[in-house]
Amino acid sequence: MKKKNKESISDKLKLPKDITMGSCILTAVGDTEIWIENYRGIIEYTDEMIHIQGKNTHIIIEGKRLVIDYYSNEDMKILGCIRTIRYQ
Amino acid sequence: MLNFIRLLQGYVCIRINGYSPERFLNLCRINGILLWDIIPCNHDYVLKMNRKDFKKIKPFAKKTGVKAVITKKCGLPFFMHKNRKRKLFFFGIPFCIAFLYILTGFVWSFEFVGNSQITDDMIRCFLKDEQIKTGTEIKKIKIEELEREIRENFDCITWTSVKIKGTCLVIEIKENDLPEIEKATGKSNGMNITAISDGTIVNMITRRGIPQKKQGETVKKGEVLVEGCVPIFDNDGNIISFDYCEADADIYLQMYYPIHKSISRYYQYKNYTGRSVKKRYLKAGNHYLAFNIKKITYPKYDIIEEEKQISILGKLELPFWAGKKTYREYVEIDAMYSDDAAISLLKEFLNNSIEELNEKGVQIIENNVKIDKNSESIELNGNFLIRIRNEQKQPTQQKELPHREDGDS
Repeated sequence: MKKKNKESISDKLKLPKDITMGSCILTAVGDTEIWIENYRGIIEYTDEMIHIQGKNTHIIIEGKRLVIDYYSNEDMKILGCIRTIRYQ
Repeated sequence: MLNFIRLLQGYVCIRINGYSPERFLNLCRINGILLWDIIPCNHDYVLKMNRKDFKKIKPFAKKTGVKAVITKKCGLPFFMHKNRKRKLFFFGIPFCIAFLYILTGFVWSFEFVGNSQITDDMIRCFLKDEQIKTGTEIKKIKIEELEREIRENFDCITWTSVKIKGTCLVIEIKENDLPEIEKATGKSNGMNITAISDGTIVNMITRRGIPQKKQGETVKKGEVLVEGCVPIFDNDGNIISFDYCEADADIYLQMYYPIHKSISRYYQYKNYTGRSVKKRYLKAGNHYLAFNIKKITYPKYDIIEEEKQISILGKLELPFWAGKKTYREYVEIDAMYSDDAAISLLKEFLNNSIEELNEKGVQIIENNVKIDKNSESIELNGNFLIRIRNEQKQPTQQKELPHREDGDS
């Protein structure tokens, strides 16, 4: 309920949801690059799967030869042959 | 650019394995440590981080049960540490560049183009008088002034261009091909044709001047053959003045040209043993730096020296010369010419003499030469009867006008 209120207020006031809701921002460039912001950490990482934890959700990126180009407190970049992006 | 900054700061490649490597990555991230190029490798992770950040990860590794091992160290700080005993080498690089830069501000060589009447040495002497020599600062040379000075100093130069190419001062000149106009100095400018040697005049065609001798007459050395002083007469036949000119005539003299050559039977020649020592050196001004200080133990030797000025890319010449001295050992051996060998040497000398005379345009009429042998030497004596063009000229002496008595009008 609280979450739905927050969401509707954000929609109505047109506020960015990554700040109000703590949502992850994913920017994909083709199927070779993904740039992720606003996450909490890596849960699991292999060369075929990266499991990232956001504030309210989990993001699973599957593919082949996945490499983390850089990993910092603000953002991270994943390179490789990306097949699937799933939310859990 | 980012890679360059990382190299400047220095980074390490590490391999982590352990109980919870993902947690280790998260802890590093939270504490502001940037990680990049994270690649999973079997059950390990290979990643890169800043040199300074590596010192901070020990507690995280301990907390997460992870072992971090450095596989590679990259960047300037590691390079400097590795070469800490070679500081002079690195200080030498900027010093060398600065030294070269300073040296390029001076003139180290000269090039003269287009001069034929004026020799290189004459131009060098002139430049020396103008305080321009090897080692002069380029900014002290005023090019336009120098061009003007060259044109004023050398009458036969019609055009000149001075430019500086690297460290070389290039002077291009264009000389005047026209004959010099005689200036009126008030003195006698006449030239007489005089005999070069005792002989007989076989051919004489006078174009200018007063001939003093005729064809077929014998003359002595130095005698005037054509006078360059033409008297001017008035209506009464009295000399009123003299006109001085340069005598011009085609005069061919027939004379005897003596020839003599003596060769001693006993002589010494150098027999090179084949042994030699090479010494290389560097020269700067009057200072030498030899690379081989081995003493020369040969009793007798020839020295062959080659030297070249060092230049960069063939244009920028530096005040250093690289040279090589080769010491070739030889032994003097006493020998004796056989009659045939000595005679062939004398014949060779004779042929060379004849060739020299022919090149000068001398016609050889007769060849009266004989070879005398004795126990000590073999001699070539004799003379050539030659026909030679007489071109010797000497200044005419100024003549006084003959004294005139005032006659009846």
